Amino acid sequence: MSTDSIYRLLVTISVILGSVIYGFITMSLSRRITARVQNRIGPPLKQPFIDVIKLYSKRTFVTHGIMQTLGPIFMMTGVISTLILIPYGTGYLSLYSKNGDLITILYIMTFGQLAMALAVGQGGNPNGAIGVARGLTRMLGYELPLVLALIALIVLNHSADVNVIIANQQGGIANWNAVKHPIVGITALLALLGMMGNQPFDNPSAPAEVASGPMGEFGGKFMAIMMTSHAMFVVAKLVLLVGLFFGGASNLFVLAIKIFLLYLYPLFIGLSFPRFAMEDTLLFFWKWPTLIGFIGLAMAIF
Amino acid sequence: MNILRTIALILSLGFLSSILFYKIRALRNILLIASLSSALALVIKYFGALSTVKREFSYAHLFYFKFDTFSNFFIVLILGVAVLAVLASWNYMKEKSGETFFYIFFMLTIIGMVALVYSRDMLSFFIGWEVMTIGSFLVILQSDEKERFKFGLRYFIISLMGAYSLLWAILTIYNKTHNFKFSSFNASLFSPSELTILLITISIGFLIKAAAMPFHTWAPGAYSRSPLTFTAFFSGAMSKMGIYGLFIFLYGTIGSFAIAKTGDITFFQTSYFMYTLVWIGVITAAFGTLRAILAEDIRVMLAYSSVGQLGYMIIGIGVGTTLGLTATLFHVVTHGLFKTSLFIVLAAVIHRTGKTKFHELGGLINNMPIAFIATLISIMTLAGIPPLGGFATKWLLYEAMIEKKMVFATAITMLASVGAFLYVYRLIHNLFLGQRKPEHDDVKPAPLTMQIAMILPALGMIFLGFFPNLLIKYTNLFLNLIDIKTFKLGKAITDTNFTNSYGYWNAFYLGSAVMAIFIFAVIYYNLQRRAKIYKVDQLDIYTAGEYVTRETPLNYSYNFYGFVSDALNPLLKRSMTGFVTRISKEFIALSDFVRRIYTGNGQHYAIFTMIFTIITLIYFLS
Repeated sequence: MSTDSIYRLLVTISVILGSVIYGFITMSLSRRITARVQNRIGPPLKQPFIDVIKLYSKRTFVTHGIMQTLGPIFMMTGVISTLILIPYGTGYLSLYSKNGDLITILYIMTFGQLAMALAVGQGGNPNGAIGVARGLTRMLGYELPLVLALIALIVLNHSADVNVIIANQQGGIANWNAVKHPIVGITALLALLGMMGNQPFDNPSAPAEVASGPMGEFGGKFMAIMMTSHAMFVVAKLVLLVGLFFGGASNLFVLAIKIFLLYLYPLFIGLSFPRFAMEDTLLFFWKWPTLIGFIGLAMAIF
Repeated sequence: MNILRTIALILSLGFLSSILFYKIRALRNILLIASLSSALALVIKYFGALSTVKREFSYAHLFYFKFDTFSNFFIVLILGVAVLAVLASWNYMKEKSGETFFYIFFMLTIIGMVALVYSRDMLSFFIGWEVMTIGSFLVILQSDEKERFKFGLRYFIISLMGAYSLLWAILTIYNKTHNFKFSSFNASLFSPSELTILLITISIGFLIKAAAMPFHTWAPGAYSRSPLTFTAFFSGAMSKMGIYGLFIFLYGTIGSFAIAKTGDITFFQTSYFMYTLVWIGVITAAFGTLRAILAEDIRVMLAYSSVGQLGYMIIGIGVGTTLGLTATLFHVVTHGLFKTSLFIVLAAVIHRTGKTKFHELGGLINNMPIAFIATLISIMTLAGIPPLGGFATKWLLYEAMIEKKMVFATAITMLASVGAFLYVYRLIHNLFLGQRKPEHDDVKPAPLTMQIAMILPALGMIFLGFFPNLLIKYTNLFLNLIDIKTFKLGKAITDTNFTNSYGYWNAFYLGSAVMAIFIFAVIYYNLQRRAKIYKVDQLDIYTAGEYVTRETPLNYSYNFYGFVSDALNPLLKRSMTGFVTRISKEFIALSDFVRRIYTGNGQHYAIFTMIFTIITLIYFLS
């Protein structure tokens, strides 16, 4: 291995670890913000770290079978594979994004989710299966506006390369895709609501309806791995969206702030709206966001 | 040695042995597998290489056959899938009433397909086409299903309509050229409007075989009611004959000329005809997927999934660029692999349990581990998840469509491929995961022959995921013969960096990265596993304190995606199948009315004769 590839590997590993820590901090902050909105104080900032360390040091695995044991590992694999294809910056910080373009990222994202769904299935809890069915249906919903926005972006930039799309937005806010092509940006932001799974669209794990759904049968180390993957995945999705629509970032500090601001948006929407019924979730995404997406795409090609 | 004669001889011997040794089952099956696999080995040996063997065969200046890469690409698929299907049938068809005739007609179908793929004139092409249709129709009738006549007949009649459409086109061409040879076709003899009509009639013939919407109405019934190991072949190899036909007629024979001639009317640099083909593909993919999501019968679900997957291939042909056609050919192979595997898994499950509905099964993972692994790999390929072979199609196809600026079609296609996620999860969950029914506690694993037949394609899918370039080398050989620019590839085997004007994707490095991360995760996981593993019973789940027994219905499987059907109810109320059924009902009512003329009363007949005579007289005398 040349020094170049060793540096890249080290940077990637630190970015992965950083994403985990940052993901936990974001989750913790979101819990505190939620608490303040509901006139509570909320847990301390270190709470997710305490939870995860406690869960990792549990001495027992309770499992229903091989797929439930392997599922969380597969999920972790899928999430890390997604993460290394998303550029966090230029140079070494572009990680391994030269091995796959936007379409590859879009598809490899589903690897972890499918693994998770399989693990839930092995658990044998009907609530889990309902949660997965809801989650997949929600995905069917938000994917349409999402791909409309992404295709528009690919056509506008003449490239499916995330690095190129970020490079095209340099030089001030006016060059950001969300500002330059506002209709495409709005479509993506609406799809993001479904992607992040905050309140109006939190049907899969709906606590009062399906008893946390997919998470039901997981405890101990499984839970810890899932929490870690989830934290990473949230950060990865937001970094991708920031890169595609909000001009990327010149350094990690700016990136962290942009991610946090973008994270607040689905959070506040979620705090203001109650949960949709599943049919309404699907139809919501296939109505206005899709219509706006079609307009944006038509404007992009004509 | 004339290689075509040798192949014909080997396959005929197979056909003969299926008739002669119908009483000695084992010998018959071994001979069939030997015949098919030796033909396969022969084709692979002389695949594209220039060698001393004679590679053309003609008879009476009427029939022409040629052994070249163009045909061999599909022949390898046909024979490969046929070997697996026959192998799986060994146990599946055992002691069923239609066993003897199943093998005879199966061989007949294969021989018809091999003949049509090697043929280089329209007459033998059409004869091969008809032998294939009749053979497969007769195989469907060998199943145990009650509804086999109804759905078999529907398949046969609709296929016949396609065949007439094709025959009309062939005879129209013959009328002008006075020769059946493909190479003697000359587009300058036809006016643009004639060419357009020819293109449409020919495409209808092939789209019916490929079960493209709106000609798909035969597919769900025929796929689900034939013996399931034959369905593996039906869906895995035979439906591709429509794609082969489209290739040879649209790009090989009349196509390149015809498209050039009708090409002056264009829309986004594509002729209207090809644009329509793309949208037919998109609609097929979208609605096939939607119907598959909502199906309650596993066989029907896989049948609709086949319909949807064929849509991607039609899109690729319609796009018509190097990327698009490579995507189609790639998908022909990957779909052949995963659909064969999935149908054989299904055959094994139904063979062992006798249940065909989603809600009657569940939790079979510990009973049938090999079937579970095969299903897992197949569904991941179907959904196009990167480290496996299916993603290559998606990448090639989307990049091709975006390059051609068919962006709306791309969006709908991508939505359809997300929809595929929904039904594949339902497939694996409701068969293998979840709660096992008490009556399935002692289900044995799939028979050995079936396990081999389902796991071999799965290995192929993993291999293609890491080295898609090895298959693209062959698709390039194929495209060379129809004068399409070939896909650029690196020299080394591990050089899998695919690029086009929009993006890039490196299959080998991506696959290796995923593998490396996975291995690292497993090691990490095991290092800190000083802890005990408690494997708990399937009833040991979180139920909020409620006491559950084996009899408690705990499987969420009936109406799995109920909310999708609730949300899309207005869209789902009308269907092409309903439309065709209504037409057939009206037709039966009309026939019933006409039938009433035959009352059985002699005096009525006398009056009819009188009236007829009078009308005739008036007509001729006036």
